Parts: sequence; structure tokens; C-alpha cells
Amino acid sequence: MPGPWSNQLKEPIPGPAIEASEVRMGKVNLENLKPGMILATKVVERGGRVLLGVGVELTEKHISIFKKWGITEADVQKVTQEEAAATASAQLDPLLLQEAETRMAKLFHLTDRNDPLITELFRLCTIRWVRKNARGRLE
Amino acid sequence: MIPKSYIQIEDITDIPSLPEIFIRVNEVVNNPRSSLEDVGKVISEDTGLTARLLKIVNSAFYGFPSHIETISRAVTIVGTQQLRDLALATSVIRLFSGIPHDLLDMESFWRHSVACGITARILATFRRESNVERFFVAGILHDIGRLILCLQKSEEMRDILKQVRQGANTVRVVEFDVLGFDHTTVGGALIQAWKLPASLEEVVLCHHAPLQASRYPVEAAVIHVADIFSHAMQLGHSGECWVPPLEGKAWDRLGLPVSILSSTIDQIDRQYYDTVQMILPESHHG
Repeated sequence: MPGPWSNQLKEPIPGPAIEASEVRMGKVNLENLKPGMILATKVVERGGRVLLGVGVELTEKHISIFKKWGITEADVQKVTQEEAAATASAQLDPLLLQEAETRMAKLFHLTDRNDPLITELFRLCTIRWVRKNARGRLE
Repeated sequence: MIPKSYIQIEDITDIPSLPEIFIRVNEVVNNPRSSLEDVGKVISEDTGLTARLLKIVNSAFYGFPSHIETISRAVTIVGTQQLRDLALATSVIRLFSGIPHDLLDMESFWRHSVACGITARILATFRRESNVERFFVAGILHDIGRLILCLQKSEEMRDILKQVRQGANTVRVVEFDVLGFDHTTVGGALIQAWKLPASLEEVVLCHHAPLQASRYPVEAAVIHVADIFSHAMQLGHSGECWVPPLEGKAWDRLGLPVSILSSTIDQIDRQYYDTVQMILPESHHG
């Protein structure tokens, strides 16, 4: 258990001390939001208007409203972006996914794959390649 | 010491000139005394340009609710600077000829440039920049120095592009190794010779080193990132085979969350085909 607040502020516990379940929330990209996810923070549009409050369970309709209002992400409980993204790519053909990753690794070989922007670009371009080629092979 | 690059660039002569019609449009837009009507009149003198501009402003790219039938309407609705920038984009694409197809595929080159322009425009819209057309035209022009190199240093370029295909490095690095300068310096010099705005010159010059842009850091950062997106999505081909390294601080400078990527990529895919059809000459539609 964490000590009194004053102590914690002065002397933060090193290492992954806080691995409690309530911390396992995160900003999830619009494309990975699913009905049933629970908002961990309110969703505010750019003009400052609150669209949905904390604790609201998302529906298809909410997600389509986010699209129209230009909301690109939302903080949800119990799911991290990594998990949501992994669920998304798990639905793809594993062979095509492997081929896409090999191709993308070559294409991206001069970039720093640890950079957060590059990581996300790589992930999205891989999925995009699989979708394009899955379509191409069906037709 | 004079950098080697400057000596070399002086060798680069007889650059293509911008079409007379664009120079006149530019003059009338820059002249504080000219009216909207004056701008419309100059554009209307060129029927080809008029048709191209009307096609663009009536496309989904703009999504205006009603049809714009005349240039004078377009001038009022779209704006004079924006029309000037679009006129520049479509004029430049028609300017270069004589580059052997096996050295550089021009259609593919312009497709990459259009992709970069669209991406830059989308990123600028996320940032709520004014006149996003200047980002579009900067994207169209960013690699223009490579065309000059292909025209004037064609043998060296053949060797450079071959080394790049074999995985040596980015075109820019290999250009520098072989020639002592690269397409950004040549492009910057061309923009200056054409007397185009200093912002375009800096963006072309700094699109691989956006932190060196002192006057237009945001513009340079947008094009730097847009170029990387276009390569990652493999839309068109500028001679480059690899996604160029990202300058992370340039992305931070834009203040945009990584979560916009997904919708940005969707928007690029949606706009790419139509914009290519609108901007490239018929012969390039393939």
C-alpha cells in the first residue's frame, strides 16, 4: 500500500510499483474503440464541449459521432491501446500479416522503430497492406 | 570556406522557366492594388489553367456545396492566394520533360509529390493553419531538385538510384556522397531562381532537416512528416526506396497526438486517387 501522500510526493517508489488494475486504462485510437468499452475520462471536442462523461459505456452510435466530430482517441478503462491494436491485427490473415511485417521492416529499415510516431505508422501501414492485398487476392 | 555545394550548383544552368501565365497570376495576386476581378481576368486568359482550376475547386477535395462555374466565383470563394498556389501546383507538374523513363518514372514521381501535398494539407488542417493550399503546393514541390539532378547529372543519378535500390541509404545521403550536395540544395536554388516565396524555398531546402528551418519551422516540419507518411504508404515513387528517418523533434513541434495517424491515413487514401486524376496531366493517369 502506498504511504501518506506527503511521503509519496517526496520519495517516489522506483520501478513498476503501481501495477494496480485501475492504472490499466489508456488512450485508445478511434479505430480500435468498441461498443461496451467504458470511458475513463470525459470526451471533449476541440471547441471544448463535453460529448460524453466518465463511466459512459460506448455504443456504435457514440463511435460514429466521434468520427463526425473529429475525435481521434478516447480514454477507456481496462484496455490499453496496445491491447486494442493487438485485437485488431489478430483478426487479420496471419500469413498475410507476416508477409506485410517483413515488407514493412525492409521499407522502414532506416527509421528508428522505437519512436512512438514510427511505431504507430508501421503498425497502421502493415494493417493497410494486409487489407489491400487480402482484397486483391479475393478478387 | 565556400561549401562545395554552392560551387557545384552554379554548374546547373538552363533551368526550366515557369509558364508566363503563372508569373502574371503571381504578380497580380501579390499586387496590393489589384482587385479580385483583376485576378480573375488574368487567370481566365488561359483556358487550360481555368479548366484545371475549376475542376479542382469543384472536386471532393473542397466539397463546396454548390457548383462553381466561373473563375470570378472561384476567386471569391476559394481566395486569390489559394488559387495562385493551386495554379503553381498544376503548372509545375507540366513543366519537366526529357527525363528518361528508365532513370525516373515521372508519373510515379508526381504521384509521390501529390501524396505528400495531400498529407501536408491534412496535417495543416489538424493544426488549423490558415491557407492550407500553401502546404499542398509545398508538398508538390518538395523533391523538385531531384528533377534538375536527373536532367543535368543523369549519369551520376543513374548510379545513385541504383545504390539506393540496393539498400545503401536514402537517396539524399547517396546524392551527397556522390555529388557533394543533394536535391534539397538544388531545389531551394530553383525555388529562389523562380522568385517563389521564401517559405517554399526554406521548406524545400529543409524537408529532411526540419530543425534547421529558422523562419518557417512548422511548414518544414509538416512537409518532413508528410514525406515520411507518403513513403510509408508507398504512394508513388520519387526515386527513394525507403522511409526516410524521422526527426522526432519536428513531429513534437507540430503538437499533434499520434492518434490522428489512423484517420490521417484513411483521409489520404480517400483523397489520393481523385487528386491524382485532377492534378496530373491526362497522359499520366495510366
